[in-house]
Amino acid sequence: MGKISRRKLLTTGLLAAAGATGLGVAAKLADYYGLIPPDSGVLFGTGETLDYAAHRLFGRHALAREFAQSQISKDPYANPVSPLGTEFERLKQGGFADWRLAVDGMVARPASFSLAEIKSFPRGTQITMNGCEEGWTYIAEWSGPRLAHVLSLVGALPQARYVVYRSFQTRWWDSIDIDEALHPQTILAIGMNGHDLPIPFGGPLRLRVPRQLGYKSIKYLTRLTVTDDIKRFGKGLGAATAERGYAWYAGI
Amino acid sequence: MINAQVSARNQRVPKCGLFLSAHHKPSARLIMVTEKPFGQKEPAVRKALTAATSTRVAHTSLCMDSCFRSPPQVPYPWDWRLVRGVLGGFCYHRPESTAIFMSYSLPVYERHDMGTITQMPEVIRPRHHVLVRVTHWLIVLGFVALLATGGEILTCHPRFYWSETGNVNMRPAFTVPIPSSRGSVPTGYSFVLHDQNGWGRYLHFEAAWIVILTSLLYGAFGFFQGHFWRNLVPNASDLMPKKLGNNIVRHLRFERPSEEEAWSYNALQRLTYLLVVFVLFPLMIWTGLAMSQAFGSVFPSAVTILGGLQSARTLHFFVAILLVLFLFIHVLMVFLAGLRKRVGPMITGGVTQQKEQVWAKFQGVNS
Repeated sequence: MGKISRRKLLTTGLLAAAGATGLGVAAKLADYYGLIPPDSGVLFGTGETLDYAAHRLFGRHALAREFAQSQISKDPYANPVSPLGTEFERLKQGGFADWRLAVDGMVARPASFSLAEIKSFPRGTQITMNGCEEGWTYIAEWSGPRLAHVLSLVGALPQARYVVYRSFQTRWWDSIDIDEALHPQTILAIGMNGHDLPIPFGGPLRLRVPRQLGYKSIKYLTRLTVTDDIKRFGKGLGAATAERGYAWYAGI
Repeated sequence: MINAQVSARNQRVPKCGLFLSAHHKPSARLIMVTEKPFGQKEPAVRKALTAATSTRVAHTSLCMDSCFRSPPQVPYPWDWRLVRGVLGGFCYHRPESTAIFMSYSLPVYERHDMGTITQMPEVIRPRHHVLVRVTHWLIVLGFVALLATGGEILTCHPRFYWSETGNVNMRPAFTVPIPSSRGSVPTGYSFVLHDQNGWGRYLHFEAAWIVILTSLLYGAFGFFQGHFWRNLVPNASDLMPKKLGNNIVRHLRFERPSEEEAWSYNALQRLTYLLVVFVLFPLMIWTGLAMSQAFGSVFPSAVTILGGLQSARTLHFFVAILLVLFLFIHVLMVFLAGLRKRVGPMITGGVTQQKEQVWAKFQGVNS
């Protein structure tokens, strides 16, 4: 190896500077186009970021697979939930007439809807799969209004980037980006297979995010918060599951 | 004056890459490089050689009938001596395709007069291309992580189904007799493993990205550089039933491979690598992606062709078993051939041939 020439030194320096700037710009652009998940900084966040960015680049608006009536599972399975407590029992006795869904955050008109109001919204049905991170699946027909409909009712602000949602079980909260929230198949499920949503499956009200794993479809939905800054919630990872070591983006 | 053209036509030098004659002394000096830096413009070759050997290189000539892999070893009626450790910066290529410039280490040898043999060189023969080596070890890294985390993910639900759906309320196609990390899965074991699925899944997908991106790089290299065609596609003659049969028998007897196989894969080995590269890995990636709800939303037919999401999961499991089987046999064969002999070239790229061996052969030629 001879001595390093001036030209070589200059070229290398310029290339390194261009590379660093390029990476910085790429990161900014990726964030601007919503390709960086809130948990991108965790130990295996690089893979997580690639999963999320890949889907947002190639299938931001793709529709989850829908199935035929004949494919609906005769034996759906719901993971057991911890006891829901006396307050839930009281609501159940009243036919969930007092169940309310609060919507707040970056919205023009914060609101709180009763179950009856939600049932009166224009309702759609979908026959989609619920897949668990453990590996099992079932197919069911779900019905309920689109989350997008509720967001338009309360007037979600254009700066909104995430919708944070909470469960009656306070240890469960999660969030989805605005693309997933406005996606036509993201619904507030109140019905399953032609009946009211059974309690083990999240009744009376469950968010359905069919393009992601079951753990994003939180049961016993009580509150939606629209935000542009996900870092303000919990530890800033975007979900209670992410704080317990599970990926925030669960499309895979 | 010894001319490169003359040497190239010399039938006693059947296997050599590039000859260069340099006229910095009244008596000619011949320098040979073990591999042909094909595609390099002649002036560039001269310039690089001049730098490497501190010799003004005036003329280069390519030996076209050569088999480029071969070293400046026997049988040569003269001594090739290493004049300068290595020459960096060339990679040969098949004549009809584009050359890729890679930094690569090649020994440079100097020809001495006949009969003045005083010392035999240590011959370093290039074996594996640097890109093959780097991608090989990246895949090893990713594969080990995928295997470990894949096993962990399996413990969440060690039951398999066919078609789209399957859960503990349904009858499985088969059950893997291992304990589970979920109490809801009946296993026959009285204990439940600790849940490791969070980081297990994170790492599984991160390692999958390593393998996918590395595979793309390797695939592009293999196609465009000619690696697949040259090193993995077997000779038609080696596929004759009798020859292939003998090859299989040699493997089943665990016979140590011949010296020749240190430089070129045997036909059975080539077929196996082709199967792994073009069938098992693509199938593994496909069935893995088909389990993703998001992937299924973009490419629904990629899931239905496989028979459904649970079918994809079952196939993923079977292909994983085949890959583990491959890994096992691959490592076994490496041990059989000699761990240092095989792993060394996959790390350094070349093989240093033992002096004694070359010396003995050399003497044989001369006597």
